[in-house]
Amino acid sequence: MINRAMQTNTVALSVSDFSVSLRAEGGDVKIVRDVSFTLEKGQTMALVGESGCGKTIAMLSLMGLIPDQQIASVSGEVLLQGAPMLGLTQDELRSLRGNRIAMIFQEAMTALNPTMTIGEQVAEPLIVHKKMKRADAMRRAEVLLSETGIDEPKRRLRQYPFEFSGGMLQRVLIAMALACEPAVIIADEPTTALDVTTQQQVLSLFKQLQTQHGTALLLITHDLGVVSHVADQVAVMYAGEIVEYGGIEEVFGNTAHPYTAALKASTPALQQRGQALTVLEGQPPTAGYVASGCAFANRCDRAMRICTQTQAPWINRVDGRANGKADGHALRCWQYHDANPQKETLT
Amino acid sequence: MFNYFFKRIVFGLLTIWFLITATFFAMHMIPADPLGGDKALPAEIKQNLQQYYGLDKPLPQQYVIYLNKILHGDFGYSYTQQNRRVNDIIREHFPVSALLGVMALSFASLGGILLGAITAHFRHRWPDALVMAIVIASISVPSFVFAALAQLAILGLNDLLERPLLPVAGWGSFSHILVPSMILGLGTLAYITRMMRANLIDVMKSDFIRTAHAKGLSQARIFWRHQLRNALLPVVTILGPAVAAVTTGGFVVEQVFAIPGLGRYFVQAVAQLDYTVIMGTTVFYGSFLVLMVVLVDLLYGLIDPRIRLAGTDR
Amino acid sequence: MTVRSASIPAVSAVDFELLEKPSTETSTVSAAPPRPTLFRALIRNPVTVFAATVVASVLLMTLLGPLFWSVDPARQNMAEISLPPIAKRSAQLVGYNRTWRGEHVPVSDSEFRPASELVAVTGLRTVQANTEGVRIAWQKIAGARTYHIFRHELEPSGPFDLGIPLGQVDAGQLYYEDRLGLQQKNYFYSVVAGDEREISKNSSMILVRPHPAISYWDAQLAGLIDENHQGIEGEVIELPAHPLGTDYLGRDIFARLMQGARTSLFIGLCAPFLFIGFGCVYGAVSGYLGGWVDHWMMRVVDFVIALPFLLFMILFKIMFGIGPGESGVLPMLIALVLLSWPDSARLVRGQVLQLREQAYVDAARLLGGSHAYIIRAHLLPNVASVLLVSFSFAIPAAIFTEAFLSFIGLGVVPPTPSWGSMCNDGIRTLLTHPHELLFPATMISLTVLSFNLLGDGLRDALDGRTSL
Repeated sequence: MINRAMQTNTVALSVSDFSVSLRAEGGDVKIVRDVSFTLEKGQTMALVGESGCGKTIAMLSLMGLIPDQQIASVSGEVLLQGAPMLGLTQDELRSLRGNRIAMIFQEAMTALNPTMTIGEQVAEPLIVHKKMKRADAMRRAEVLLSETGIDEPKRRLRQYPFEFSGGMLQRVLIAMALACEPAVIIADEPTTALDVTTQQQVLSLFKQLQTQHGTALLLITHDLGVVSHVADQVAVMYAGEIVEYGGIEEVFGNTAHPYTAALKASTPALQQRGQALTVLEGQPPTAGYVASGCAFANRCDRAMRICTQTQAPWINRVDGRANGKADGHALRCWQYHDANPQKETLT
Repeated sequence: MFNYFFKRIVFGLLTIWFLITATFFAMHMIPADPLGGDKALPAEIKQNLQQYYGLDKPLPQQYVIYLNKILHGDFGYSYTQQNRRVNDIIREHFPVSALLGVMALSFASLGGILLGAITAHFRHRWPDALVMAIVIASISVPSFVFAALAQLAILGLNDLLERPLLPVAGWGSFSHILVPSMILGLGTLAYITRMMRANLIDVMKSDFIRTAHAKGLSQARIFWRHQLRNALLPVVTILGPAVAAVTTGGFVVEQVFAIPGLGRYFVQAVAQLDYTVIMGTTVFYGSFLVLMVVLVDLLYGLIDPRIRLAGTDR
Repeated sequence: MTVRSASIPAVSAVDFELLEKPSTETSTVSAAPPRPTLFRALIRNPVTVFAATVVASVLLMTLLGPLFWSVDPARQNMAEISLPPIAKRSAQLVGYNRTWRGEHVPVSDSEFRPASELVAVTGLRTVQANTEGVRIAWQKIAGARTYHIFRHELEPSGPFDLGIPLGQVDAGQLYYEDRLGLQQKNYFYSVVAGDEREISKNSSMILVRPHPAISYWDAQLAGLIDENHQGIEGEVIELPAHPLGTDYLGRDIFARLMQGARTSLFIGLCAPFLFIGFGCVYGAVSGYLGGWVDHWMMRVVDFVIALPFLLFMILFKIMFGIGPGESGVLPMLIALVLLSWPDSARLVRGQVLQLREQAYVDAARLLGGSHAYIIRAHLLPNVASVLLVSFSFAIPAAIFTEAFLSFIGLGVVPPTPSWGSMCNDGIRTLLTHPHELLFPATMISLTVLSFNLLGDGLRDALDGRTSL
C-alpha cells in the first residue's frame, strides 16, 4: 500500500502489458503487443519507431479515441496517477481527456476547427472540465497563449486558425493541451510538419513548460534527433512491441538492440561528421504480422537460429540476465542473453 | 472584404442589365408583331400602347424609353387585360409566391439539415439507406408528378376520413400552403440532405474533430459546436440556386394547386402572349433571382471567417 | 515496474548460431492488382446494372417499339376518350340506328286516375342492353296516363332520388330505349307511372349493365370492318387495343409514349452532347492560352452561369419563335446548349491548368514526350472520366428541363408528344383518369432515376479506379 501511494506521487502514467487488437477484414489484427513503460512526473519519454509500428494506435486507444466498433480487444493495465484508465466508461474517460491527460496531434493546420476562434478553442476544455465561466476561461486562455510564446495574445484570441502559421498553431495546440494542467501530455509527432527552426522553438517550449507545470510528456516520434534533445527516457518500438527501453544516455550511448542501432545509424543528427549514413534494408512487417520469433530477425544482420523461433525475453543490459523485468536499460534481443556464446564479442 | 462585396454587387447589376436588355430584344425579335399580330386589339388600346412604349420611334430610342421606365420601376400595362398595370399584377401576386417560397425553403433547409445529420450519423445502416433512396427518388421525380400524386393522396385521405382534412387546391389558409410548399421544397430538401450528409461525413473524419474528442468534449457539444457549423457553411452557398429552384418550381406547383401566385400568372401570360406582362415579370423575376444570389454570396462572406477577413482574392 | 514474467525457455549454444544472411536481394514489392476495367467496375454494382437495363429498355422501346406497335400516335378517336388501360377489348356489332318499337296497348281516357292512386309499375325487364342502346319494357298498370323513365348511376335512395329523367311516354307505350352516352357500367333504371301533372310515389327499379357494342357505322369509320361488310348483327369483333389506355383526345397513350420518348431522349442526349462538346473546346482553349484571354473568357463563363436558367430558357424559346408546323424541339435544344455549356468549360479549363503544373507532365515533356503524346496520355484520360460523369448527369437534367418546360406549356408544341407535354395533358383529367398522367410521369421518373443512378455508379467506379 505504501509502495502504491508513493508511486502515485511520482508516477504520472504507468502502462503494463498493454495490447490492442483492431478489427480488420479477414480477422482481428493485434497492432500493439504487451507494451509496458513508466512515465514519471515532469519527465519526458519518447516512443520511437518507424511509421506504422503501432505507436500512434497505442496512444489513441489508451486515450479511448478509437471508435469502439473498430476495436476488437484491449488488455493490460494503464494507470493514470495510480488510477486505472482501461475499462472506464466513455463518460469517465471523457472527464479525464483534456483534463488530466491531453493529446496533441501532428498536423496543427488541420487539428484546429477552422470556423472557431483560437480563444474559443483554447478556452473550451476549461469551460467543460473546470466549469469556468466563458469570460474567465478566455482570460485564462490569454495567459496560456502568452505562456506558449504567442505575442499579442489578446488580439490573437479573436483570430481564426487560418490566420496563424504552422508553428504558431502548434503553440496554440500546446496551450490548449496545458489548459487544465494535465498530469500527462501525449504529443504525436508534434514537430514533424514544422521547419527546423520552428521545431527547435517548439521543443524548447515543451521543456520550459514542463518544468513550469510539472507535466509528464509522452513524445511519439520517428525522429531520433528530436528525441536526443528532449527525452529523459526512450522506448523503441518495432512491429507493435517495445524492443529496447531505458534512459536516454543508456539507450543512445550504449545502444544494444540491432534495430535501435540501425535507426541511429540512419539519423544524421546522431552520426559523427564524416561517418556514412546507412540504410536499413527491407520493410517492416505489415501491421498484425505474427512472427514465431523476433519480428526484426529477417532484417537483422546478426540474426541467429533462435531469433526466428522464439522472441527473446526482457534482458537486462547491464548483467545480461533474463529476469523478465524491463528495469533500467533493458531490451529484447537474444544477442545479450547470458547463454549466447558470442556475447563477449559485442560492444 | 470590401473588394469582394463590391465585385459581387457590380457583377449582379451587370447581370440584371443584360437580362433587361435581352428581354427587350427578345420581345422585338418575336416573328409576330406584338401589337399588329393576329389579335384584334381595340384601336384605342393599341394607340395608348404605341404612345406609351414609343413604338413609332426607332428601336434604339424605344430601348432608351423602356430602360428609363424600368429604372423608375414602371413595367407598363398588361396587353390582354385592359388598364391593368404590370406593377399591380406583381404587387398583388408576388406576395403569394413569396410566402409559398419562404415556406418551401424553410421546409427544405430544416428538413434537409435534419435528414442529412440523421443519415450521416447512421451511415451505411438502414435509416441512411432508406433516406438516401427517398432522396434519389425525389431528385428524379418532377415536382408536377409529386404535386399530382399529392392531390390524389389528399382526395383519398379526405374520402377515407369522410371529411375534408386538407384542401386539394386553392389559396387562403395555412392548410392551403402546407402541401404545396412541401412539394415545392422537396427537390431542394433532397439536395441539401445529400450535401449535408457528405459534409458531415467529411467533417467527422477531420483532424479537428479528433482534437475535440481528445479535449474530452461530449458528443453533443462536438456535434453542435464543431461538426454542425462546419458542415452547414457550404450549404449556405446553395441557398442562391435553391431560391431560383423554388421560384421557378413555383411555376408548376402554383399551376397544379391553382395558387394565385406570380408564377402561375407568368405562365399564363406566356400562353396568352401577353408581352408586357412577360417582359415585366421576367425582368422582375430575373432581378430578384440575381439579387438573391448576390445576397447569399454576401451572407456567405459574412459567415465564413476565411472570406470575411481575407477573401479579396476570391 | 514489472513486466509479466515470461517463461524463459531453456536455451543451448546451438540456438545461437548465426544465420546465413540471404544475399542482399532487393525486396520485390508485389505488383499492385491490375486496375479493373471500367466495365467490370460498373457491372459489379447491381444498382448500376439495373439502371443500365432500364435505360437500354427505354432506348429499345423508342427505337424498336413502333415496329411492333404501329398505332398512329396522332390519331384521335372521340369515341374512345380517356379509356383506362385494358389489354384486349371486343364489342358486339349492332345494326344501324334503327328505331325500336316495342309493345303498344290501347288506352282510353276514362280509366286515368290521379297519381296518388297509382301503384308501382310491374314486370319491368331488360330487352336488350349494350352500349349502343338499353331497351327496357314493362307491363301496363291500370289508370296510368304517362310513364316516366329515370336513370341513376347509384342505387336510388328514395322516390325523389331516381337520377336523371330520361323521358316520358304516353300510357299506350310500354317500352323505352336509352341511347344517352352509355358506358360499360351499372345503371339503375326506374319507371314511374303518372297523371298529366305529377308522378306516383311508387317506382320500380331495374339494374342494367350494358355490354360493349359498336355500331356498323362506327366500326366502318374506325376501319374495323370493310364497307361492304355483311356482318351478322350480334357478331363480336375485336376493338383496337390500347394497352395503356387513351388520352383526352382518344389517342393511344402507348404509341404516344414511344413517340414522346424520342422527343425527350433526343433533347436529353443531344443537348448534353453539344454543350459539353462546346464547353470542352472553350475550356481547353481558355486554359491553354492562359493570361488575359483566359481571364476574359472565364468572366464570360461566370456571366452565363449567373443568368437565371429557366427564365432565359423561356425567353429564348419566345425569341426563336415557333412557326406553324414546327415542333419546338430545335429552339429548346439551342436554348439548352446556349445556357448549359459553362460548367464543362470550367471543368476542362481546371483540368488543363492543373495538368500544366503536374510534375509528371513536366517529366513527360523532359523525356521528350510530344504535345500530342501528352494530350493523349495525360490530358484525355483525366478529362474523359470527369466529362463522362458530367455527361451522365447532364442527360437527366436535360430531360428534366424539357419535361418542366413542356409541362408549363412552354416546351414542344402540340401535337408533337413529349413526356412533359403528355403530363400536361394528363393533369387535366387527373382526378377522373389518373392513368393519363401516371404513365408519362412514370417514364420520366424512371428514366431520370436510371440516368442518375448510372451517373452515380459511373462516378463511383471511376473514383474507385483512380484510388486503386
